[in-house]
Amino acid sequence: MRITVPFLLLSAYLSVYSGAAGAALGGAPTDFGVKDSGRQVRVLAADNSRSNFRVNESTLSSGTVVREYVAAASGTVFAVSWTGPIMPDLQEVLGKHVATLNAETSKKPRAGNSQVSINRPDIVIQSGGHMRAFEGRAWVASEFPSGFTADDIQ
Amino acid sequence: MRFFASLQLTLKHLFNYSLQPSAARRAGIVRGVAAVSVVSCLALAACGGGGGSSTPTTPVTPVPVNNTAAMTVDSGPAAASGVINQPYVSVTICAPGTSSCQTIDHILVDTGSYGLRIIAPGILDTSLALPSVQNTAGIAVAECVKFTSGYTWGSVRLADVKIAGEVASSLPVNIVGDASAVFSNTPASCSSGLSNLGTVANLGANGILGIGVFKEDCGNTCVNSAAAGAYYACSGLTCTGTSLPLAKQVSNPVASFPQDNNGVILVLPSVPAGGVNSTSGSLIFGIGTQTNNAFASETVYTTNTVGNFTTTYKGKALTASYLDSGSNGYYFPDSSITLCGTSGGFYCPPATLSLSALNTDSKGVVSGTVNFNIENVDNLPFSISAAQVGGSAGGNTFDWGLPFFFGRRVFVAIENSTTPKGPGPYWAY
Repeated sequence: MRITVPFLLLSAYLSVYSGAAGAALGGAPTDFGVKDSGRQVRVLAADNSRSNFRVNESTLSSGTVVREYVAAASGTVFAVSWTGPIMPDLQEVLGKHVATLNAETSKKPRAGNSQVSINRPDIVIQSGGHMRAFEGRAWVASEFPSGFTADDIQ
Repeated sequence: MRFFASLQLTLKHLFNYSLQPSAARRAGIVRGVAAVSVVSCLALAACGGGGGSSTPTTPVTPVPVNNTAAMTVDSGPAAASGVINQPYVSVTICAPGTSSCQTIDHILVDTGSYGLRIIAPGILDTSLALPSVQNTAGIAVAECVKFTSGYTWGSVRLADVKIAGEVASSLPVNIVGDASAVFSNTPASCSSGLSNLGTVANLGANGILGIGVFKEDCGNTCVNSAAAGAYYACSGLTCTGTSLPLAKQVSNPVASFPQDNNGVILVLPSVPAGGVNSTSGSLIFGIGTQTNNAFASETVYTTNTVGNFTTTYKGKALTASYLDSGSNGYYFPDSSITLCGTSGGFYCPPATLSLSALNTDSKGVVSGTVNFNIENVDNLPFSISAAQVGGSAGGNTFDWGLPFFFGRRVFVAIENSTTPKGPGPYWAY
């Protein structure tokens, strides 16, 4: 599957990002490096009309790609997406919001673990797929930079 | 018009396949030999079809075995509750090469995964003493499986796996929740703060029979790297990530059968409005290998390299879509449908919705419309175990869960296998 990243310059540059460890959604970008020596990170620069955020793209050793959408003003991750053969570490990616995931998925009176779709005012978490092909997104809409919508998360 | 144009292209593809002694065919033959060390290639059907064997042999028709397992959709094992739309078979596992065996009921039939997983606590007879699989350094292997909302953790061991009359000999299987001390600590990189799904109550099943379009559960991803959240090597009380050769990975038993090994057919009856308390059908092994698994009027939909095709719903192409008997409903994005107050994640429309979507194969040449209904789950009695229900999914997926399988014969062809309609991976219905 070809993944496109709209609104971003094709001439995205490779760079080693040295972010603060273990923060993720709602905090600074995640440093997967400590736990996953195989990862590659590149920072995708937003184009001129969308300079109020940037995207940190990490390719984990499994091949799974994690994108973190970072507000330029605050340096805070306001959205994240993942796609690939193995789920990323959701605690690393979702940060404190993993508690919401656990609380919501434990409520089901009907068994079923195939899809997660949590839609709350404070957080949206979507997690789906099957073995060898997982993908998901999560975002905090109240933290979106001006002009950003959930459809911009790829 | 588009359909007819597509059909032409499809026939051309099929024709091409029939002419080629392709790599896929050779791979199918190699796989058959490698997986069954004792049984030689006696006939085309037993080796995945096609020519190319270097040893001149007289084709011998193998004695057909019983290739049909009874499949039920019911309220699940006693320890589960609220189960809906979960198809089960019984599976027998034996210590390799022995008659020391255990038959386990209520194993979930899952076309969205690959390989057999048995829940150990309260289910597995540990006196079977299944031998551990070891990595290339000789260290015992365990496996983490990360699902969308939680994980399972357990050992990888060898077992003879028997379903109906079929046998996969000395197959790596996943013993979830293995009580052996060496596997007792779940690595933090596996659990990562999520829920342990490796219980009968959480899975609604005593195990999972992954019979989707691939052979190994991880594949080359785990051959090439010690990917976090997959295979681990365990010694003492510590487990660390390890790479693992394909032959040692937990694998789809069907691909290791000496015959009927190119895929499966799931057959379930229609389910009326309002649902039923239980229903039953068949899990048939092999495609075009016996009189009961030939094609009728089914259409082939190839999948891409990760097992997806495209579903177009309300004008939007959802490119990570798939058929999954292990999903208990139709899961797709539609913010216009009311979500349930009680059953989290499900849709609860005030009146039953009649909807449709278009499935297109991964080559973009074959497509067909599927009509389906969404009933209100919260209005169904808790005793209902099979019904046309669905729920919400993320932006790029249409997950055709078990309700899709009601009233159909659904073919699942394994990657690189040879079938009368060309090589897998594909679905046909």
